Amino acid sequence: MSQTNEVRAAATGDKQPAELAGAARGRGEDREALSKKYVVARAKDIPVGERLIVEVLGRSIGVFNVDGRFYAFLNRCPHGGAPLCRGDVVGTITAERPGELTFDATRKFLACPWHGWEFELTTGESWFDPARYRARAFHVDVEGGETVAEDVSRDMSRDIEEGRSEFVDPSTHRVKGPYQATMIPVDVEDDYVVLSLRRLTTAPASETGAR
Amino acid sequence: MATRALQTGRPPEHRDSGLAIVDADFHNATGGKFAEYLPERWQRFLRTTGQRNIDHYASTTQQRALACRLDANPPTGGPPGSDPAFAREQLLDLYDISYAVINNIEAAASGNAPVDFEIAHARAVNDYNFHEWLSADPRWLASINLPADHPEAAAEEIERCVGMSDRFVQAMVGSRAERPLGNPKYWPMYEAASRHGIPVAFHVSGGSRYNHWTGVGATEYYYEIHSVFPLAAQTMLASMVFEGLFEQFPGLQIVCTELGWDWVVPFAWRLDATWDVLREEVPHLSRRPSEYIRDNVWFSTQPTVETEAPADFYAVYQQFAEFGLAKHLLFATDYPHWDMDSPFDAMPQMLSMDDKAAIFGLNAASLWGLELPDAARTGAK
Repeated sequence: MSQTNEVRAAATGDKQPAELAGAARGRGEDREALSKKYVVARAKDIPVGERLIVEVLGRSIGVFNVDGRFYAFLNRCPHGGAPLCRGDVVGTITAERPGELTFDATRKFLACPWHGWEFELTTGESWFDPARYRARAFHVDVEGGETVAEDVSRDMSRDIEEGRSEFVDPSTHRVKGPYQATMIPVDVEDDYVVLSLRRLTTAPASETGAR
Repeated sequence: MATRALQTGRPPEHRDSGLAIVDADFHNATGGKFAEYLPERWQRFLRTTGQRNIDHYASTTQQRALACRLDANPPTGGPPGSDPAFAREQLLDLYDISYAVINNIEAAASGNAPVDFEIAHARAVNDYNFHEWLSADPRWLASINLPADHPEAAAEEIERCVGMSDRFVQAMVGSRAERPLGNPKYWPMYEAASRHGIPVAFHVSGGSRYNHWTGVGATEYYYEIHSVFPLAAQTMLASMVFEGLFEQFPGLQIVCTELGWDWVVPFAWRLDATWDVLREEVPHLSRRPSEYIRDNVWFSTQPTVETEAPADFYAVYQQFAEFGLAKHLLFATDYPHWDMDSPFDAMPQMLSMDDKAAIFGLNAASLWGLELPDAARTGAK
């Protein structure tokens, strides 16, 4: 089993991960907050086979690096409420008939650490009960530091102009906070894992099923 | 911590609802520490000979190592359930549980060791629970481990533990002993429990030299074993009813733990139908079999009933309740085992608040004589 790294706010303290756009935070998030993108880690901080559990807008989310591709899931199993992202990433085992087993290492599932329910890594779809349950998967991407830095800077400027940023010191108009020690400093030389809270897929399935 | 509450703890509607939770089935693990509580002779036995348990855990799969959740390994090391502080955090605090009954099943095996070792083992586990868990948090309660197949020693151990602490709330044995557990051989154990007014619980248990769970032979797959846990309970309840255990000890309360509850009512009907035509064989019974089950037997919920259509859960529950067992259903998590039930995800939302209050806390409070938080008592009648 791979090591589970759990962090709050991606680095330290109680702050949210760096937001690419603006200052929406807390539980009273709106549509706009959900459409924003969040820098959750340096790409190199989540090596192949590892995962990082972060908190974004009050949601616990696991970000996985599986063979160099990143996947993100809400850290809650829709079946029994377990911390889903502490489970294992597993391949697929099938059998044409008893005793004839085929293992497909390329088709991957996230298996819940409790009851072992499996969710397809690429979609969050359940193989146990696809009609009722689907793990919530999020869009996650790797972006270059230069792009991230530009976006951060542009969005911060806009927020400052519109008086929306909590990070503005009103006396100096200087921006403090998330891009300094408490957060992930953005460095143009690095790649960053960028998360969006919009759903990965458009096909809706009941999140809670038959609770 | 906020993170956990958001993740899996109480949902918003239950943060202030006054719903008190009692967990009827929590498992700790001594991680070998029980040995420190053994007499020197048996410590030496452990070192030089070792246990020959036919171990239940050895039959679990790698994905279910020790039959535990993958996320239940304490950061301090040791097996899941061996660190009181971590278990408190991951269970009691997370779900705001008022009490959890420790069922340590390490000594519940039967017939795999010298008699005196089995007796000493059960004592050592009870002492371990008393010194390392009951003192760690007032929310822990414990079952008394008993060497079931040595009923005189079991009766003595009940006396000893009840004398140590009133937080030993019940006695507990495994679900497969040498004989079906209603056999008069075991009555000294029931006599002691009755005299002290504590229930006797049966838990799915590990190695037994005597019997398989199935009653008809060993299984190939862990999946098979896990599916047939209730079979032992059916044999056992029939034995208790027809041997006249409840005639002898009318106040005795039996708790079936992790043995299912959805099968109980049809099974009770079957017992009644059999009694109707074969009662000459058991003239010592003064009541219909179902009446003993209704008055003397309790059931824990985990693993919860997962019906094909969600609404069918309510049909199963309604049958159970209308039969007269609504007040005898006890919520249980089975932490830290892999098939654990989280309180707010395992029990369907369709249950009324009154039903939930009974299942989650009030039934347990009446069985074990527990004080629940004030809000809980007014929450439902």
